[in-house]
Amino acid sequence: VENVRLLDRLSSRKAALGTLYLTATHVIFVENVSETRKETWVLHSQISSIEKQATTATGCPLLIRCKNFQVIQLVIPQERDCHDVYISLIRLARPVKYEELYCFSFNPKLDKEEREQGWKLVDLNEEYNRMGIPNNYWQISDVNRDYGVCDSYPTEVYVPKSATAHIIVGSSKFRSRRRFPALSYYCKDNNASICRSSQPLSGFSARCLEDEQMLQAIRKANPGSDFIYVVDTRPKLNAMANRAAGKGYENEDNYSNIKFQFIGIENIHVMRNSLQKMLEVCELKSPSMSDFLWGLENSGWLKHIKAIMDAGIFIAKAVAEEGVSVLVHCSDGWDRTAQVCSVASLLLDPYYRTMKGFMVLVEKDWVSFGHKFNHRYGNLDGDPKEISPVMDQFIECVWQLMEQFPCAFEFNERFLIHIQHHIYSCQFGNFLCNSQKERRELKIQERTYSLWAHLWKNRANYLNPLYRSDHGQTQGTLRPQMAPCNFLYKFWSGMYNRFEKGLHPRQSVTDYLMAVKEETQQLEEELEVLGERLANLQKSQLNDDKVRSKQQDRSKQLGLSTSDNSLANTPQEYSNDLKSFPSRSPSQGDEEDSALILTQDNLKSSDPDLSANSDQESGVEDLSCRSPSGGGCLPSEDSGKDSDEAVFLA
Amino acid sequence: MEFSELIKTATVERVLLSCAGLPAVKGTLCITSHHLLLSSCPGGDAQPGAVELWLLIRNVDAVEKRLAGSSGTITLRCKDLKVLQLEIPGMEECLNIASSIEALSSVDSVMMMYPFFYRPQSLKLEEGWHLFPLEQYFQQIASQTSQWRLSDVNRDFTTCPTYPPAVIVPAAVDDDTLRKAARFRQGGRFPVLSYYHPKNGTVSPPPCPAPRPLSRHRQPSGEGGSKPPNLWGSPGARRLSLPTLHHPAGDAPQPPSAPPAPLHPCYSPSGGVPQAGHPFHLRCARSAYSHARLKQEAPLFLLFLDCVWQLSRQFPFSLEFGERLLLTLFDNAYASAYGTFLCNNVKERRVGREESTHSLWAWLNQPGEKKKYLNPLYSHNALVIWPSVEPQSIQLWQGLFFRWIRSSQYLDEAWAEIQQLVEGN
Repeated sequence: VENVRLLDRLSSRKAALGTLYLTATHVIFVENVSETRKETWVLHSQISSIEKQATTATGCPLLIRCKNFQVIQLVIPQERDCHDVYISLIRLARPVKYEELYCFSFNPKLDKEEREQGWKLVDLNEEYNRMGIPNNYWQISDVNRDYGVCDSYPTEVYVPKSATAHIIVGSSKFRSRRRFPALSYYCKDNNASICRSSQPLSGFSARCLEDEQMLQAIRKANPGSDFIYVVDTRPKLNAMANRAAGKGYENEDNYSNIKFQFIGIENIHVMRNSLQKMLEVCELKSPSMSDFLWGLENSGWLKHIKAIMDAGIFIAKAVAEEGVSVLVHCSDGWDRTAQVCSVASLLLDPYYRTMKGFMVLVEKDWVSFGHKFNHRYGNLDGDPKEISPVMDQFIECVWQLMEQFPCAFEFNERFLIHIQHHIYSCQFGNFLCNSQKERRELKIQERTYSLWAHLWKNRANYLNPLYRSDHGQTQGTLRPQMAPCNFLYKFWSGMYNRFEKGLHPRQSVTDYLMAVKEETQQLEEELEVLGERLANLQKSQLNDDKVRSKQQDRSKQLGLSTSDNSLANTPQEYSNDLKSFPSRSPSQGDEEDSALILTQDNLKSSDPDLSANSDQESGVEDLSCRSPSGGGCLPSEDSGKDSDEAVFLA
Repeated sequence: MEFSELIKTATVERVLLSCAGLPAVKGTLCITSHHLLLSSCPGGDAQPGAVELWLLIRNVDAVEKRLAGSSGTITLRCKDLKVLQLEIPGMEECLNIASSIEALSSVDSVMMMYPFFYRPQSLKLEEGWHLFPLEQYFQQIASQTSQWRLSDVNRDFTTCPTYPPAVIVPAAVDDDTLRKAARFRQGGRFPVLSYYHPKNGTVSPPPCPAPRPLSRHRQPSGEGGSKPPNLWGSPGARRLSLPTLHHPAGDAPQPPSAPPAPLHPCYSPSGGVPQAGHPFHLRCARSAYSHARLKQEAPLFLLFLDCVWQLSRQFPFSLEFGERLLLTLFDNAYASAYGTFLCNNVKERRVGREESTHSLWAWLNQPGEKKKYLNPLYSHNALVIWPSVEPQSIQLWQGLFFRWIRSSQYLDEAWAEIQQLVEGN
């Protein structure tokens, strides 16, 4: 459709005129301005709602809200065209078969071997080995090898050595959806562990000997402690209501040596409404300070984030400080339990705060234990009541921790934002379906690519420059402060207003420090090489003409690198500067440059920022980086799209 | 009045000091004319005491006492937002200490204040008072335009008692007109120049009319891009710019000063706000905890510092100084060893401030001291900066409001790491 206008939320003056294309996988808006031809790409799988508004004199407005919090406002001149686009998008945004999802057509041009290698990057057996398992207390069980006991659990489950198959099966029959207690994290320093399960089918008085034995076995696997905590992450009222349905929670009298604890986190429906309310606040047009603050408070969002953090902190303390094992459950044990176990693991073990470790953590606590990605994130058309931002909340908890401990994480905010994007994008196979069983049936690993390999390949973009593996914050348990709680957790505008570039700091400290770090490293390496050469030359007393010319080259480069450190302060200035930014860092050799360009090519179709709105302003965040050598060494958002995607043009 | 009259009990033994986030310590409490001291004897009475508390009494905003049996607890709420508790054995001692602190913290006579007694060895009294005279700033403006002139119409403070003696005014307006204009303005505060924005080709016009934009002024610069000619004359004057400022309205909502490029008085309140007659003494006599609720008390200077902090967050490379300077200015505006923020205007300060007190700027400008306040990420930025004022962009200044209730260890470590990275380069 031609002559479509793309509106800017913050200023109506900045509408862009262009052409709208619908392809099999994307909505694409291409601006008319001939030299820039800015493009905005939106994956169909990112669309959460489409709203057709009343026709005005200027055309028919169409509002597209995305799951990565982008809001696109289009005005289409003809009502009929608008209706057609609307009808098409409704269908395209709600695929009914997995095969319709983007990951089955996405082709990053990797061969079979590279694809397989990519899937092997995260290996959970290796991870349990890293924890020190199997050992005297824990072993791998094949009781679920063909998903015979629990179809939402993985085939390989770690359980206490003293828990026989009989006990496991018996316990599973006494747990919702047969999700029996299994190991999530083991602390080899003191043998304390975190196990997870669903709620017991206890009703008002039912008991199960095997389940009681199972909890006993977990306690025995930690000889240093004479009890375990059982943490129910639901509000007490919810748990009590479940008793009437024959479910509920453990009775301390029936289990020997447990301490039972409620840590109330609300259910998926409350969370869905809370996010909805918060996003309404984010969408307000020029809100006052109190509109915003009241709206944020009323949404309850940060209160829920705090509840998840509190539960994670409680468990981490039990393990690290008391040396007591914990069994965590909620109702089904795949939402709140996943959040809380992964937050606790992140606090306890510095490994999960590295890039690779974080991938392992998500794979362990979310993917393998049957978090229902398809239902929660609405990948396929389904029950809207199943949708809830469970993983988004976990990702935000990580960000809140990063704000409190700036040196503790190997990765940066962008890493989290890109993972959130790909939970919804369906571009990679990792987060498809609701369980391991479903993924195996679909042969996901043979037909799609792994996100982790993609992120790992581009890890330079995701590094936190303040991270050092020998820094105090990267050692041992993180102990977040508890008070004053209400101010501790902040609104994350980098996520929920991420496409409103005008709201964010105009200069990126992370990008600048990364560039500084890189340059320092290069200079040091060069110095070393030159030093060696000099020594060799002195030794062999060769003609030193060559050296002299090399050194002159070097000083020229240095001269260049300090000449352009102009900074931009406003969107307009940034975009002016954008043109003058050298596209490559002068201190980088040609070889590095070509490597960089390759990376950018690969990024084109998969980097969430690239499928983002790339209007004049969106260059600000990434390019505002004050590189010591003139900037421009980061992937830019306005590079073009892969030509192979144009094939999909309808 | 003698201080000794106000001190009813000078020392008390076995006082327990507690403060959020720190272990409580027991020691000997001692009141001097200006300070509250607590020294502990960790190694027993024979050991020399370690000083655990060294509090300027002027910093105390509110004193609350609670008696229980034969002892009492005094809660001191300070103007820098710190809260201290003293558990004092003996009811009478407790009451005496409380009333001594109340009396000493309420002394209103300028000459009795600590700056007139403070004599650090590393500084000379006259240092730092005339780092950047208005005359010098005027010379710079005069080198670019003849539209302004320096007037001494207020030399004897008769035209406007709260203005400095010299002001910069439009060249076309003579002193007689200024006097008439002053009579038509509250407090005689007639319009004078606050900031002169040099003409140049690269600074964009503001998107919205801003009568007094918060702007980082253009600096002379020889390198790169299309820079204007060296407008400031002297190449040494790289950070100069802000003239004294004046607001036509008598009681300005906030000191209209540009973000200070610190450690230089013309960007700092020494050259700016105090000269322009922001009534520091009235505004900062008490603070948030005080029960006095003085009509003239208001955190206007703090609001300004908060704005600067918001700018520093949005433009982390564009301010030469870090948060620490803002905190220091906040502290010193309310309770200080230096004379910089004393009184309400230039006229009042003729009580001998420059002869008998030290300048905070002189202290901050000492090389060892100055380094602590610099922003390692700073890079000269010639452009005007336009911050976002959307609610999502405005954040709570945790470094100030949580300073005493939450450890900033991890954030300080990050700051040190940044410093190291940049210096390594």
